[in-house]
Amino acid sequence: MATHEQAETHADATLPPEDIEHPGPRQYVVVAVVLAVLTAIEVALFYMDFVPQTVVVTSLIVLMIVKFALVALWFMHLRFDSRIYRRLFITGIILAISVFLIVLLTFGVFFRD
Amino acid sequence: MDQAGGHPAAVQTPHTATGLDNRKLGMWAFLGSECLFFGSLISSYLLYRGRSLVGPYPEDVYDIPYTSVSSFVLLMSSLTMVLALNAIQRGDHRRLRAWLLATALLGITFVGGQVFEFTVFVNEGLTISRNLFGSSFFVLTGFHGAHVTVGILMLLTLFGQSLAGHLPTERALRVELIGLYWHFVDIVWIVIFTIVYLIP
Repeated sequence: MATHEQAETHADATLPPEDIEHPGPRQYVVVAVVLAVLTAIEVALFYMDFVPQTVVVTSLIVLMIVKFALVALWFMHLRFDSRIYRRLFITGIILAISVFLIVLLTFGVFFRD
Repeated sequence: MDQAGGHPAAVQTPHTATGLDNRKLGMWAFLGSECLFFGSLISSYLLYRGRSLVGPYPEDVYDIPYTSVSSFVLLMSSLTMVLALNAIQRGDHRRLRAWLLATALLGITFVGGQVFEFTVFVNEGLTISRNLFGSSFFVLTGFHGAHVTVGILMLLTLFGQSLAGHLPTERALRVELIGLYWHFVDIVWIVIFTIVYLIP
């Protein structure tokens, strides 16, 4: 047991240099404020009946992507950590979007009346 | 008071083929695969949207202001989570415990809100077997809620380990791995909130 714990402690202590250089609390708070503001804009867009639906949907998708990227890049440290982590995650995202876009297009989800 | 003082971890490269810690690499691979998992559920929701033959329909049951507050709560839990990681990396174990507990409480608030929302929907006649909307909605948001619940259990475990003195600064990676999972659950909700609730 002790040997296992020592081994784990040793492994934890060997983080690569790029994993150490993370932002500080102030930057995290700024990112959180931006996320909160973007969420407020999303909700406001939902209630704007006078704005064309195409504009609303496009804006909501853009805001969603920006929020997604902010959390992944800053809170999950993809901006600062090794590129290998980024590639793994982006591979999953691209694979998911490709596969399910093909499925949705096949069933004509975007062209329904 | 604090089990481990001092500064983070010695800067050394792990003895692996990639030079990276395999546990963190494994977590990222897992999160990549989770994209496919939630992608399938979101696609199913989109596939069945507007195809329910009987109500209630989304516009009959959704309470956007309520869900917006829930989304805000989950977003802020990502902030407290990353502050917990920052605290343990600086060797500040008192703040680590405070931020871990805050994250778990925000998560509990979110899940509690989801349970309340489900209860309201069921009372309004929307069950998992009522129509295609009910089936795809409850499966998608239910699986997300289950992920949040698992995250809360892991956060409380970390909190207990820290209280017991079993979470020294040298093991900050544990907090980082659970943090990655927690942030992933948050970004999945960012997508669900927009696609399921906001897009008409």
